[in-house]
Amino acid sequence: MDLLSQFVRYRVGIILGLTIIVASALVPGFFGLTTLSLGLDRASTIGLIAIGLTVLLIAGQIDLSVGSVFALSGIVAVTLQPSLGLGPAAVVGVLAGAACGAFNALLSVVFKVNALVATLATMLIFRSIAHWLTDSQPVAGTDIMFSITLAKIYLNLFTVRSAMFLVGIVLLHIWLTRAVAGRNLFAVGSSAPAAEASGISVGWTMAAGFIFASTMAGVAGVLQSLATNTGSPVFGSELTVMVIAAVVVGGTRLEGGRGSALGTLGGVLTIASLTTAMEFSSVPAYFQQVVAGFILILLVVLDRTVKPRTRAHSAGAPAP
Amino acid sequence: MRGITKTFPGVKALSDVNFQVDYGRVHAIVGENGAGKSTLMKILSGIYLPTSGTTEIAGTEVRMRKPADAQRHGIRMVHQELNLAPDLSVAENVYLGRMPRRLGLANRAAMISGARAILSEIGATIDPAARLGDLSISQQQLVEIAKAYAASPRIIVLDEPTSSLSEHEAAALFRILGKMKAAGIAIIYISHRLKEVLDIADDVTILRDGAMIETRPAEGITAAEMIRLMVGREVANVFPKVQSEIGAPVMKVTGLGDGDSFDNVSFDVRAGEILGLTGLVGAGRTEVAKAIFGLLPVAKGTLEINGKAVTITSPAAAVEAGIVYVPEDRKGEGIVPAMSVRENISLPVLKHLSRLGYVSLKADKALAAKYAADLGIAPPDPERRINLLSGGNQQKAVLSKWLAANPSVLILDEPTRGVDVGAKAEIHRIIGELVAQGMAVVMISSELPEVLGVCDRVVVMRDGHASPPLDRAELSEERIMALATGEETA
Repeated sequence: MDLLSQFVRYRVGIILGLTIIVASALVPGFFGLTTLSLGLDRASTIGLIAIGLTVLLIAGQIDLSVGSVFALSGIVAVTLQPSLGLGPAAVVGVLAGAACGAFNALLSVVFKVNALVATLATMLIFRSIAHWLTDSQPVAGTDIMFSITLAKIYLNLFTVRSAMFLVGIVLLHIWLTRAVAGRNLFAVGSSAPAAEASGISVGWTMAAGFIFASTMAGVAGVLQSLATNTGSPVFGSELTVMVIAAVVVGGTRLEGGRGSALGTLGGVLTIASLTTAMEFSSVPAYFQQVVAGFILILLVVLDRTVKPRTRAHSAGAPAP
Repeated sequence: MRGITKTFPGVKALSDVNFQVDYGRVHAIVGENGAGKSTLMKILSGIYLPTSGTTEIAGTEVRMRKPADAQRHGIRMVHQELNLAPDLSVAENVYLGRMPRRLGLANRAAMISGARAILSEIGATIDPAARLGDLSISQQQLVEIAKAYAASPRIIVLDEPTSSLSEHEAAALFRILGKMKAAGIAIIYISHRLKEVLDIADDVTILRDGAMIETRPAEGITAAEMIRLMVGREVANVFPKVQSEIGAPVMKVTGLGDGDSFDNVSFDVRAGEILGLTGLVGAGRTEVAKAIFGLLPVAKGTLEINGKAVTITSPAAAVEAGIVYVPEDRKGEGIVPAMSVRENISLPVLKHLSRLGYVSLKADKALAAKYAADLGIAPPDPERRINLLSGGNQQKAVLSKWLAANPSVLILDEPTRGVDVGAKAEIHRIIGELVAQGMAVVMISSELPEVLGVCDRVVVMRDGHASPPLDRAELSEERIMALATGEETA
């Protein structure tokens, strides 16, 4: 049991280490700078969204619509690019993401719809809007200069996207561990009544979490569309599961109250290495999701087994 | 607080209560379960809004719509149910909602050292960096007190603060209360432990059935007098006792304990008898019932049904042995709200109503119709969704559900809580008819007139220990309160 709990504590590191060993055995030149930088760039899409979801999951909420927001924001940015210019179009794309988050917050926080149900519905709604805006066709942008900037590798390792992801992780780490609002976030996820009774606004905290998660999905979507100079209504349909898997592998608890930025970094890198390794071994794409799904289940079960929630309760009559 | 009234749907929890507390004094509030103490304090701390009435602090009227408002006015509450975030550190919990900042970030060093100073001041040896969820309940209680104290409040409310503290820890708490009092803080102290109240309170307010009975200086009042004022209602015969023939013991419990919330509980219940199980909230009554019914694990002790020892590990085994339990938490455990009355009633006996795995709708309907008529469920439509019924009628349906299983022992947990007077009498009548048919009934109740009116014998629990069954002839409300608060030991 002790060994098991040790494993659970350092599971992100252990799983990441194992994955990298397997990946380096399967992928020729895995540690080559080009492979690494491209792998990191791909991980950044998952990673940017994972930053947002880490915050939301710690608050005890969830968002299944991030994949749809990802597609929608990209389409908005690419479509507006000819009329607004690149920068403003990108900003509007991200704002569209934030608006989606505000809608999710409205449903979950104001109308008290269970977050799982609310964001399942908006997942379909946002995806349908993306199809409607584009007539279900991919749309191409006009300005390809920026996509070259995005694809360029700096310092032999970083792309704009991967640098943003890594900086984002560092900022998230500082915010979660040091900022008052970050600590309040944990209180809300750990025990919402306790947070409320301590004068923390649970509603606003959760709403901010929804908006932040969607905004990050918007950022990732806009970057993806600019990098490929394309907006497509089918982008990101498999992203949500991968992102949630990455965040949970990183030790963030689905029930809220626990999670960390460094854990999410480890989770994202694990999922990315796993995907890369499987692709190189010609494992079909659908099977990759099977593996991700099983890892997710395994970790959640381990979490339950090793740390059963021994919440002491006094089952006596509640005093009215 | 002036003219405070609070009504919940169907219940008037407080009616026109006036309450005043002075700076630098300890003001105790005492009363039975359900007298309205917690509700009053939840209004003071902004958790509930009063239906009517006003609150003034130092002569100015204040309106508190949420806990943050009350905190701004310097009111801090130490809750009976712990209000802490288990995944945060002790220090973070102490400063929850008002963490010290430096350059916009939480100042962890200041929190740790501040929490350490406060914890040592209240005499608790707790590592401020520890994760709160890893602490024992009594340590968490001390953290909760430290949290309230750290906010340097003007008014502090403590709701049963000693219920999970050892004597040594409680003594330390009283010392710190003395310090706070000297610092001019107004302290409101809610406790069932009358001895404590006499020790530390300057003033005592007695609440009963949601009304304020009296406020007077603690000096000169005795425990017996407080009990009399807490209980002292007209004992009209609202609970007519149906006398029935009492037979042989059906269920015998010996030395039952779960290693935690109750220990060494022994009693028996006979055919045709109603045995009352009473005591204060948290005394372990519900836990005993749940353990007998197989919902909670039993660590030691034996259980006999009709003279044969049985081991019960699950509710299914209990039903098999002839024991059924009607839980207190009707909404959570008693009914399936989305199902009809009929479906609820036949839930435990579907097996007997079905052939080859298919339920005979005819038998099902007949069963529901029979009980709906027998128990007088209104409206008499078994197809109605159960959550559309009134509380009393829901309770009748829950009773039907278990009667259909034809038990020999029926355990009822607060069967009349939250139901109106008419339905209450109806439920008592049904229980009376059941024992007349030779069923043995264990009834958990906090309502003393009900216990005395309906039960043949009564077991009083206190802190997980049970008195021997006492004959109703030997009992009065005063005596039960004395046993429940530890003024008298059985």
